[in-house]
Formats: sequence, C-alpha cells, structure tokens
Amino acid sequence: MNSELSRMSKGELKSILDEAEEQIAEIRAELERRQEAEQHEAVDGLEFSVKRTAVDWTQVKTFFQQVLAELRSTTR
Amino acid sequence: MAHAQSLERAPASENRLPQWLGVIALIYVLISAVSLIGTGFKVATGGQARELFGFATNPYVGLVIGIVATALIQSSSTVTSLIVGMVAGGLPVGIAVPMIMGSNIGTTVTNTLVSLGHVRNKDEFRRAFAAATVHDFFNLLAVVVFLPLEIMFGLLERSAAAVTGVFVGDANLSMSGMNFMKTLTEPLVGSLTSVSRLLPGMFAGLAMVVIGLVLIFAAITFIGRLLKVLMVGRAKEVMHRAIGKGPITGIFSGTLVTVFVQSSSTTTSLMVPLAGAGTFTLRQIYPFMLGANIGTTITALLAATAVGGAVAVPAMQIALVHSLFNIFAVALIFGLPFLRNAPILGAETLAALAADRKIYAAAWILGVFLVLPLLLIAITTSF
Repeated sequence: MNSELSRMSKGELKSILDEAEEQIAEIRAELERRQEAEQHEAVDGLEFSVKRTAVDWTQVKTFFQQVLAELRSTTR
Repeated sequence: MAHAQSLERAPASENRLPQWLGVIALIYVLISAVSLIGTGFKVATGGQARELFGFATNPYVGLVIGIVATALIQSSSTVTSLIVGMVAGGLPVGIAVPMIMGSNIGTTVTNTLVSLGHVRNKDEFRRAFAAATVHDFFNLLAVVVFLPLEIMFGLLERSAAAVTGVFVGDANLSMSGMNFMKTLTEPLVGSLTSVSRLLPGMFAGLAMVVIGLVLIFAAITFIGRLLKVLMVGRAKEVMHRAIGKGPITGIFSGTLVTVFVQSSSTTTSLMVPLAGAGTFTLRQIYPFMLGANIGTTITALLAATAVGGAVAVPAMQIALVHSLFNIFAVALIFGLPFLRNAPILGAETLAALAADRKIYAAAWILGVFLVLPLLLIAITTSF
C-alpha cells in the first residue's frame, strides 16, 4: 500500500483523502440518524406510570441481598 | 424491571374535561392545605417559631431535615410546599433555605433506587447507575457551592427577596384587596380549622399541620397521576423535539416535561432505563436531569400563591429561593466548562466501580442519604 501511495501524485492523494473524509462524514451522519431514530422510538415507548413512585422495592431488596452475598463471598 | 401500570393513551380531548376539573379541584386542595399549614404552624408554635426552631439555625441541620424528609416521602414538591406553609406560619426564611437545598438532594434517591433494577446486566447497570447518580453529584455540588454562599452572603434569600418585591409588593401595604386566594380557600380551610380547634391549644395547630401535610401529599400525588395521563402526549412531543438538539434544549425539555407531570422523580426515573439501555448517552441525559430540577420548583411557587396577607412575601420568597437555587446552580455549574463535567466524571467513576462491585453502589446510597446527614449533625453539634 505504501509503495502504491508513494507513486501517486499529491492531487490523487488529496482526492482519495477528500473521498475518505466524505465517506466518514456520511457514515457518522447515518449512525447519528439511526441513533436519533432509536431515541424517537424509545420516547414513543415510554410509559408514564401512574404509580406515585417508580421504585420497585422488590428489586431494591434483591439488590441489597446481592450486596450481602458479595460481602460474604469476599470475607470467606 | 417490573412494568408498572401505565396509561399511555391519553383520552380523547372531549373526555378530558373531568380530568382537568379534577386537576383544578386538587390544586384548590393543595393551596388550601398550604394555607392550613400556615395557620396551624402559627398556632402550634404560638408565634414563637424562630425560638422553637432555634436548633435549625444551624444550616446543616436544616439541610439534613430537607434531605431526610424528601428521601423518605420521595417528593420534593410535597416537602417544599410544606416548607412554604411553615414559612407562612412564621418559620424564618433564613432557616428554611437550607431545608430547600436539602430537598434537592433528597429527591434524587428515587432515580438512584430505580437504577438498581438494572443490576442483572453489568453494562446496563453501569449506564443506568451513572445516569441516576449524575443527578446526585450535580445536586451535591450545587449545595457545596451555594450553601457557603448562602451562609456568608445570604445570596439566595436576598435574590429571592428582590424578585418577590417586584411581584408581591411592599409587605406593609394592606393585602386585603389582593386576598383573592385567601377568600377562595376560606371555605375548606375554615372547615378544617374549626374541626382542628376541637383539640386544645397547640394540639389544634399540630392537627392542622398534619391534616395539611396529608392533603398536600394526596393532592400532589393525584395531580401527578391525572397530569401524567393528560399531558403524556405533550410531554413526549417536547422530548421528541429535543432529540438531536443541544444541551440547552435538553434543559428546557426537562423543565417543561417536569412542569407537565409535576414530578422531577417521574421525569428523571423515566430517563434512567433509557440510559441503561444505551439509547441515550450520559451526556444527553444530564441536561434533561438539570431541567427537571428547575421544572419541579413550579409546585412551591403554586403553593405560595395560597398565602395572603403580610406573610405572602416570605412565602413567595422561599418558593423563589427554590427556583433561583436551581436556576443559579444550572447556570453556574453547567455554564462553566470546568464544573460542567464534574458530575459526569463523578457519576462515571462511581458507576464503573459499582458495576464491578455492588458494595460501592450500596455505600453511595446509604452514605448520601443516611450517613452524610447523621455525620453533618454529629459534626456540627459537637463544635
């Protein structure tokens, strides 16, 4: 590859570089577009729960049980 | 994560009238409750609120009261409305300011606990916990910056007084001509006061405060439920418009959505799972969280409208302290590049540790919402 590049003129190298940068920009724009589309979908799927609090105490309890298990395994 | 009951589809516009009437009725209950607390507090303290709350002149005690009360109730709107009522009943504004600041910290416990539901997947938990704790870090930093400023210069109290002066006017003027709210709330407040006065002396006042607190809590809860149904479309619209835009739009979006649903805990807890899933990055969530801080202050402002007479000024002043504290904090911390990233750095560091060892997450939760308050009291009462 390096020997090929070394045979190219400055103009040709610049042209390849410009093309590569353009492609990168297009890929970035496409990735951004897809991410925004996912975000729009996620917002559409949001559930505004009528529960007073979003906390699931069962999961909080499970979490602290895991913490205790982790502590016990560390002290053994 | 358990799927909570949801009412995603808003009713057709022609069916919304009952819900809107419900919201109006509940707002009436809210402002009446604040007025009742003001009266009750005055009766309970016998006009000696400054002396009785002398222990809270230590700003760290006030801060702790705000943190603990809000963390337990999980509603900064309820606590700040209660504080407005107490100020109307004679609690000095200077004592209430640190309580308001503490309430800002206490309210973040909800989304932090919500993030624990993602613990089964390490990467998801890391992202969700970071999104939740960026809010914690921001609010802690805001207190670290503004509490000393408040102690030394009374920055928030004076700023709020200046703004209040513009809207409410000279406290020495008779407010009777402008006591529309007092007249409006008199039927309910009068009835509850009469019932409470069946009890002797200060117990009547305490009963009024307790009834008022229960009514505030209920009103805010049910207002939130109704508005979540009524405003879900508008809220989502605002969020859609913010996608792909910059952080300032994110802040406004967070503010508006929180005003719509009347709960910062709701809006911030909604974003945590989205961050956990990787749909939104931490840097995208962050401005939204800050906007929620500002949006939630609308409730205390609404509560302050209940207060008439000469105490209307301090009541509105403390409500404005809540708003100004959050606006100043966002402007300063988010506005200064070297401070802006501090909450993100803190959250990412902590989340990385917590993803590897859950004890760090547990230590954070217990530390911020339990140990820190106790430590503050212990240190400041020892010297």
